[in-house]
Amino acid sequence: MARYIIKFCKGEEVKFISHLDLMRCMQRALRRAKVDVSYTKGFNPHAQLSFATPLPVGISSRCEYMSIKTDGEIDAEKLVSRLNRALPQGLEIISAAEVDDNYPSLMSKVRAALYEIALTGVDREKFTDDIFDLLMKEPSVEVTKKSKNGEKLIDIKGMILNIKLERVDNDEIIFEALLSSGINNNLNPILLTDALRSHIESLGDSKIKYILKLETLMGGDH
Amino acid sequence: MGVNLSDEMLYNVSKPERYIGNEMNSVHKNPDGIDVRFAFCFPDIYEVGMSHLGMKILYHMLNEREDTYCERVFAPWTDMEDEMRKRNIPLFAIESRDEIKKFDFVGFTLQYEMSYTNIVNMLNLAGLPLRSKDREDGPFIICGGPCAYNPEPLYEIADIFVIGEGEEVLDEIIDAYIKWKRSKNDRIQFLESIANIRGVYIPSFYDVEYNEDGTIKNFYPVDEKYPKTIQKRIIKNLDSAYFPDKIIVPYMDIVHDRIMLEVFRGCTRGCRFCQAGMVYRPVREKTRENLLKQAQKLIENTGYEEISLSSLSICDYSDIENLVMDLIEEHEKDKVGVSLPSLRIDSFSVDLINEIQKVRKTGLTFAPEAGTQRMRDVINKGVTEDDLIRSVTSAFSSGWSNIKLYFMIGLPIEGMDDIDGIANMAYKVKDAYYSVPREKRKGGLNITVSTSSFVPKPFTPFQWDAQDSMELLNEKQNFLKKRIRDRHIKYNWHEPEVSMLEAVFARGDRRLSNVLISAYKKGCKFDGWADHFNFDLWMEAFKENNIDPAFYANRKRNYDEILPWDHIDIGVKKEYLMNEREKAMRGELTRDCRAGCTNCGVMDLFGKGVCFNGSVHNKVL
Repeated sequence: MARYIIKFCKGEEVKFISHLDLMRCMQRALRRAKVDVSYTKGFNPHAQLSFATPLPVGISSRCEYMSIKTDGEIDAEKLVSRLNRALPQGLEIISAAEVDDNYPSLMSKVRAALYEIALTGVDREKFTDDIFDLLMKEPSVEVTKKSKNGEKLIDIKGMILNIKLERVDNDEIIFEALLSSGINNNLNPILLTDALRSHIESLGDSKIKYILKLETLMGGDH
Repeated sequence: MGVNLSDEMLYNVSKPERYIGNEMNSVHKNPDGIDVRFAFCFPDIYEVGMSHLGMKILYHMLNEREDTYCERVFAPWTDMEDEMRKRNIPLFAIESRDEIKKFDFVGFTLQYEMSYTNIVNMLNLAGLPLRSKDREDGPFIICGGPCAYNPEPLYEIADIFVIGEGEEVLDEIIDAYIKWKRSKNDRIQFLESIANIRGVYIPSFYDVEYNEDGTIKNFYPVDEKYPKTIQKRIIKNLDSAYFPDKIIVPYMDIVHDRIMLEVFRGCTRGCRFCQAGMVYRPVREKTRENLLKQAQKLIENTGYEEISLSSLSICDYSDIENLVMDLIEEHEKDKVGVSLPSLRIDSFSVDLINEIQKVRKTGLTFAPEAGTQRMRDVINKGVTEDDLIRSVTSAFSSGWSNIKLYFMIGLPIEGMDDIDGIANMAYKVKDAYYSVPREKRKGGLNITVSTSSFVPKPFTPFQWDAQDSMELLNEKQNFLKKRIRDRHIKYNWHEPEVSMLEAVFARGDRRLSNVLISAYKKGCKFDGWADHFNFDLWMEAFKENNIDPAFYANRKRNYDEILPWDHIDIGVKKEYLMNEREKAMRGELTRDCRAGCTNCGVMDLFGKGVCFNGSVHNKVL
């Protein structure tokens, strides 16, 4: 038995793949790569594979993490190269490391994520460079969150850890946002763009051009 | 340059995975230097189309050719279609995102009649004229698949039909196309050049006259150089025929998300309602050695966790037990499961199934098809109630508690007693469950009874018979709804309106092309999807074209009537079908061909010979 933490990219080609489908895709890639993944016992055995955080559909990422258990041991570098040969275009393993079996679950360690967000359709006449500073001076940033159980008004301000304008180009802006991520607090960057549209006039009609996750920030144990 | 699918657009549609492609084992080629761009279209959504074995075979086979680039196209779901139309994005192929209007061939596979409006919609979305005669350039529209055995309702839409199995004939058509393309001749000259290839039917080279009563007076080629009858095309030796060693692994959950290993083609049972059982004759098996090799490669190249043996009556394979045991033995350690599709009652072997489903006992499906022995004899379903009860009893004692039973209603010479027999059978299955000692059976008995309404199909012994009226079908369903009231038994039925339309198009003639186009223009599409089906629009379309759907669905034909598909030759003789119908009316059975030839005539296609490639002897009957 061995356990590995694997870091991978989810590229443009596959960013619309849902979380569950990505898990299945990884399981199949592991079988193609002939990695002897451990299976749970019981009536419905499933591969011992878990992801750090589910990435929302439509977002590409340079830093996704998953954890697998195998029956035998395999050299981490070999694991990377074998898996990369078995992966479809758009998915790429960056690195792998063997860890102890008692290493905490990835999910419990994630604290925040850094995104690069590009919006198009910005009203340049009304736009000023200090929009994000003004936003963060507001007492609260409320937005309507839609879920299966209906709509709910929530304040996301506390989950915006940092937000900073990078570039302005015609009717496009690019900015970086550091958002809470993980099991306790989690802010979907798409929801953030909804909030920006309703709180900042010049972004009222803006649309997402792309969202790229640049970094996942992990914290210590609880 | 391909079309642009912006993020913002994909955020707006449900399941964007349907449109993005790039799946493992999808084929990408540089279009420069390609002679033939082939758009393989499935007129339904991605998850349905991607589950279809024929498409997988032909996609990879065509892409083996260096001169050909075959890509996939599916019907976009309505939300995506709206986005595409709003942005003037034409129908595109998944791999290259190039618009299919620029392709050499646009091929449609005809799997069920209720997808026909989607074909029309897809042509329109591609920016192509709907009618063959209005297309002066651009791709040739080529159609094949099971519904192509009666091609006439689509005669005005398609340029070419392929009758029978596509593997060899598609190669020949593409060879001829490349020659024609280099010659820079007129469009019609390409069609001329393939009109005499066996299995090719060019509808525009034929004409029809009708009698005053609406039946066909005469159907003939417009020139004597075209064949009078079109013989179906079949692969003689399936064992050596092309089968892909890799298939596309979709990201999203499709309907049949597993490897489908085709074990044999054809069926020897001779059920009289079954078109597949007649048109896919003769039976041709692959050898076990070959199947094991193919399975091995497919598992290696896909990483799939399940392999399903795919064929009409799978347990009839002459070496089925060894095949299943070997597959399990070889792949158990990699956690690859083996599954079997629909089972026949008599060939059901609990040992075999137990071997397959050691852990998960998800559910078993049985298809008695009719509720009484009299009716099962009429349709030549050679199984008895005892067979069923014995099978379900052993299934219950092995830990199954989820049983599905499939029946048809509206069969020829069916009475209310036969409908009552369906309910009786369900209750007897329930009794069988309680006959098993409590400690041996699993809790939570669940019996699902499903009835479909019988649709008489071309090239079956019932091709001359009337479908029950919608009123009568409703009456029979209501009867069952009242009879089946039990918390362990659930009853499912099909809407009679859909079955009626299926019956119209299954045995339709050329006059239905206009009805189809009218229905489409009124907004009909995705007719196989209950939420989208609009019966009233269809009735308006019939009315507008002065066509009475009952003429096709509910009329009994005489044996001497010229049927719209009489110019298609499936090998099985019309006299054989007539004789089978007469036997049906007398309740006489016809034996399984494996027990001795029943002289259907199909081997004349090969210039005589025997069926089964000699493999019949392995099977103990």
